[in-house]
Amino acid sequence: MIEIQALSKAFDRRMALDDVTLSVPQGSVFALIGPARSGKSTLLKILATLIEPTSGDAFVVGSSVVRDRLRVRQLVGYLPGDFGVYPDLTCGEYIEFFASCYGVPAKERAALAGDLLQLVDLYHRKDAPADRLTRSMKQRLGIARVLAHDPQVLLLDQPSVNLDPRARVELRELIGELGGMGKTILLTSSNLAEVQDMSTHVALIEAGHITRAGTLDEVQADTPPYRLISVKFLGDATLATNLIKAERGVINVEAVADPAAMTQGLAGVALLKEARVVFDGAYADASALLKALMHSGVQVVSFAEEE
Amino acid sequence: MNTVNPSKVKLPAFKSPFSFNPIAAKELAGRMRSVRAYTVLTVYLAIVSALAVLLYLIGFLSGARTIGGTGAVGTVVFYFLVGMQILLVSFVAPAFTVSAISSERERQTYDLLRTTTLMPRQIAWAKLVSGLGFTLLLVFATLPLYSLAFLLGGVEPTELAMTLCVTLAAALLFSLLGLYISARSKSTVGAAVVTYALVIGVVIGVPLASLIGSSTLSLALASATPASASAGRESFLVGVLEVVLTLAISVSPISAIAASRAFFSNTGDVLTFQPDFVGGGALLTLLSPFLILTVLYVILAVVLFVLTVRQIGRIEQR
Repeated sequence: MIEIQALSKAFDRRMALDDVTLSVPQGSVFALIGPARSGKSTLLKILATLIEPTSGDAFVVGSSVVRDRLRVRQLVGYLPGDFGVYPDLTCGEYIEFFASCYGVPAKERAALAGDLLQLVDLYHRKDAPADRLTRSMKQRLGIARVLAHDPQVLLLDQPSVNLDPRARVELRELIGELGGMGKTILLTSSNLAEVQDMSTHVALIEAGHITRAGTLDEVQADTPPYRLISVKFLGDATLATNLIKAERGVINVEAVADPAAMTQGLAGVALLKEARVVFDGAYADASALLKALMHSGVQVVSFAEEE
Repeated sequence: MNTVNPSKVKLPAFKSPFSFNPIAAKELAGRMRSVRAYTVLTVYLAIVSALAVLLYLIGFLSGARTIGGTGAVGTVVFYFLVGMQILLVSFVAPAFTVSAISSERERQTYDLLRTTTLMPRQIAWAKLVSGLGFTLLLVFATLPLYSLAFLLGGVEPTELAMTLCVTLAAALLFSLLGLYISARSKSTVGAAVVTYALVIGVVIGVPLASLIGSSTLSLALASATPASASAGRESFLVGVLEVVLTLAISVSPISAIAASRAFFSNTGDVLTFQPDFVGGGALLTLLSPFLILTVLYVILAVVLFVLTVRQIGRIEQR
């Protein structure tokens, strides 16, 4: 269904994708797993015809993303990692608007919007403003939007990120239903554990290279799954990040300021920081990581594996 | 999660795009759905009406009760309304388009539109229609006020046609200027700054520069040419200067209307113009500035539309 052939993409001097060759079978739910800045979103944007590859090509149901962009857009529904809604539209109107952008006849749009919202369990919000949804609802609205023109292929960029566990379960069920409808789905994630229950195939991508690809069983047999460890701490984020990266088993680390930062009393303005560590080491390696942080003087407040 | 059987959900096959632009329909409906649209329209009409009536009353109370007197008042009221329309299209028209594309980027909906099967020209056309449409609504809503001027006399229908040409051409060009700069800008604020700098430069800066330029040149030529050489005024240099200055005053709606009106009231000819910027008599017969402006603005508008379509259709590199 999707054939990616020697695809490369350079941004200034950085190779976001480097000679990527991949085949996504028809009807599969294909998970592209990799840490941040590994090229996942870039690959999806190229397939969605938003950006051009530097070299190589990709074919969606036989149509080139370079030469047949309009045809590819008819075949593909793209859900970005972050997307907006129109504040002056209700959820139903939002779906109808994008249905009209794809040329769905006017007399079918209202019924289509109702059906799609029912599919994603948002029918009760049909007349509610589209900008007053939770993150989980917004993701489901986005999935309803990409289905408006009945595409054969769905490109979902990090659909489960920032969702609470219950919402992730609902998303998994929805993607399973879409797979059951015969859609070919290519989705990205930084955590295999998040998507393995819904995926039939997996590819691992790192620094723009595909390191492994195949069915879920094949890849899991070769590779221990990534885990996400959340480390909350006080102190120098750069020091902590560099320390973590040097430890065994660490694939990548993102140090972010905790949005629910707590200040320590009136005297201190110490912001709680969080490093999310993509980790594929053993439990002993995780223990060694924690020990190294404690010995270095980083004030660890919490060290836990994310579900 | 839900009780809908996926196999029973009907999803239509792809069909070719409709003739009515979905973005234009959404934006026009959204704009007229808000209270702001009616507030803007009401407040604008109220202010313009009140000022027009005030001018009429001032003229009437000053003793303008003869035909010639009321005619003068009518002319003042008419050109006051024209001035308000020019201000409207210069500063309000770009406001409706300068955020058209950049706000889609800021709202993170631009990529969603670009991955649909809408062509770039459909997106550009829709944004232009929705922005320009409201501006034109304001322009045409003010037209009944012109009847006050016509009742008082002193104004001919030809002048209305002349000023409408300029107003509509300016509305079109300034709307497209805002749209093009919005398509190129990452932020609405940046787009607004550049757009209004250009509009102010064109509407106010160019006539000022022309005025200074013509005065300076007039003085320079008078001091350089002896009186006995009056025949020498028919020089190539003066002719070129007159063409250049005519083009310069034709760039701004204010100076184009002022110059066209001045000449029309002297000669009765609305289509041609004999400039005499440096004194000593006119040498050339040129198209009237309002006609030059209308043609120039329409050509520039077409060019800007094409550039906007190309910008929207450009596949980004990152």
